[in-house]
Amino acid sequence: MKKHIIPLIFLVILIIIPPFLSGYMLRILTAVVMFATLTEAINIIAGYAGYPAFGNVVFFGMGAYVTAILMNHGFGFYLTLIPSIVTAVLFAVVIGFPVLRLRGHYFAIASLGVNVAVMEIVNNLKIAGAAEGLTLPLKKGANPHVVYTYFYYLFLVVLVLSVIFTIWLEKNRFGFGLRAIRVDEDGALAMGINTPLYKTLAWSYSAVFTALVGSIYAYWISYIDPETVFDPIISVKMFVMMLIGGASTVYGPLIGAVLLELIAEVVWSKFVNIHGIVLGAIIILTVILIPKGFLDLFTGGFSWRRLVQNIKENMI
Amino acid sequence: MSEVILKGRGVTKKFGGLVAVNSVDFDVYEGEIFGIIGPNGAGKTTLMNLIVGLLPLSDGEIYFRNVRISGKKPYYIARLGIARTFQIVKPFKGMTVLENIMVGAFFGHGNYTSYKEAYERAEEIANLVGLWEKRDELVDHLNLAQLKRIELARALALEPEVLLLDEVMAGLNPTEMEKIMDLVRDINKKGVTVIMIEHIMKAVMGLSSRMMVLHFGTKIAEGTPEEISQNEDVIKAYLGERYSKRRKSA
Repeated sequence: MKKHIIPLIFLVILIIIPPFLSGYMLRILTAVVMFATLTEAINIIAGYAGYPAFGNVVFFGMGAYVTAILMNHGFGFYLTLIPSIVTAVLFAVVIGFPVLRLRGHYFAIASLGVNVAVMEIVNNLKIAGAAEGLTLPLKKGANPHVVYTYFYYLFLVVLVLSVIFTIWLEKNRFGFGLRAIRVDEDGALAMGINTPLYKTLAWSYSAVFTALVGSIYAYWISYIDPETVFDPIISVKMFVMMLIGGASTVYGPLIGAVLLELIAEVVWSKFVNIHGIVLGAIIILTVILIPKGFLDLFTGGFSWRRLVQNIKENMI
Repeated sequence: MSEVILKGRGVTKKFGGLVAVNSVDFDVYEGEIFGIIGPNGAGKTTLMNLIVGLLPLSDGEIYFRNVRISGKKPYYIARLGIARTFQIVKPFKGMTVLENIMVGAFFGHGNYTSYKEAYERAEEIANLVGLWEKRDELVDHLNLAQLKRIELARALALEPEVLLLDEVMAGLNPTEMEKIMDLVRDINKKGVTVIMIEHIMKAVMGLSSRMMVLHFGTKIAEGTPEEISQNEDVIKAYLGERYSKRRKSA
């Protein structure tokens, strides 16, 4: 229970802070919360189960499109959430069955391929507006700040749900199964774990949260096209955030999302021309110096010896 | 004699042109310690992989208490009550000793579904196999002898009726070996049927009630340890043709 106190304090701050923020700051914070949720979601399949789902953004895009299409046909926003989840889960199950048989890099590439394929399909789908994309009805409100606060809270709710889920996972039989699969799949099989089922379930849970975020994103931005919502860069970002913060931990992904999003913002404003290089260098340094992520640095305590030891262990 | 708990008929495994296990028949009786020995590459580990379902059989059938288990998934067989250890230890790294054992408790025959139940069961087993002092340490920091105990503990947490041990003695020093042998005896006394695969003759001879010898995938002998140690074919397989001839003429 003790380790949840600091996060709870942060949650309270997150709940009361919107009225005190400028429009720009609120937007950045919303993006941080959104990415924190996406990272928490990819953490289920890539962190706990160890399956590098590089195409996880496919669920984000699906959620966005299901919501966009349904809202264009007169459905209310909340009514689109269930179809959004159902579509993503069905897809995770149907595609997961063959694809989750692959391991390591092969799975990463296959899941990326699935994402690109779906993007191309949507690019040619009339009902989805093909390559032109879709416009969503605007959310009405007294003023823009009220509207943006509404979306901020929506994202925050999903974030809290995903964190609660991960906390449950940590202490649950299902979570133990996933961790065993990550380390040694044959070992897991011999321990009586139904690995195909568990992997598919893990990907489905990951899909649920990712699709929900996609749905809210579509309504928030109010215009989507295939290139944006199926952008593999979003997957990469989730991955980097997870690694920087600490994979297969409850709070690591959140720390990663905050750090990367804020660092990216600062770097972008200070080094307009070379921000890509600086950001890349920061990511490489973190992975070499603290391979277990920043959370490990906070909980394990900082010492130079550990940094040196990490460098030694990472040398080839 | 008691009931047959594990039965194999014509068990065969081919890897391309290589016949790793060639039409082996075996009967393991409930409550015994059954040894499987043979030189390197005799097909011992392959046979074990066939029993637990990690490899599909090319031919033949395996029964557990008259239930056919050949062709079934490994997790199904494990839950049915057949647990194994791995020769090349496969600890779940990044998890503590207790958490490793809990995996077995969660998914095994005993079906402990709550965290608390699995935790308590894991504590009992950690105590039993002598890992109590190490229970909260990450398995990453353990030595080989301790990792072999983890293998045993995890398999035990599944609450198996049949326990297959794949070279649990290999790589251990004589003192550690002695301790593991005591442990295996204790486990067997609690009613668990044990099948031991060993390279080291001494270990199996001291423990098994009956044993079977594999050579190039074929069963060349079966019987009590005394019978096996007198068997000409076994001596030939282990020590070579010349030694066998010299022994005969002497």
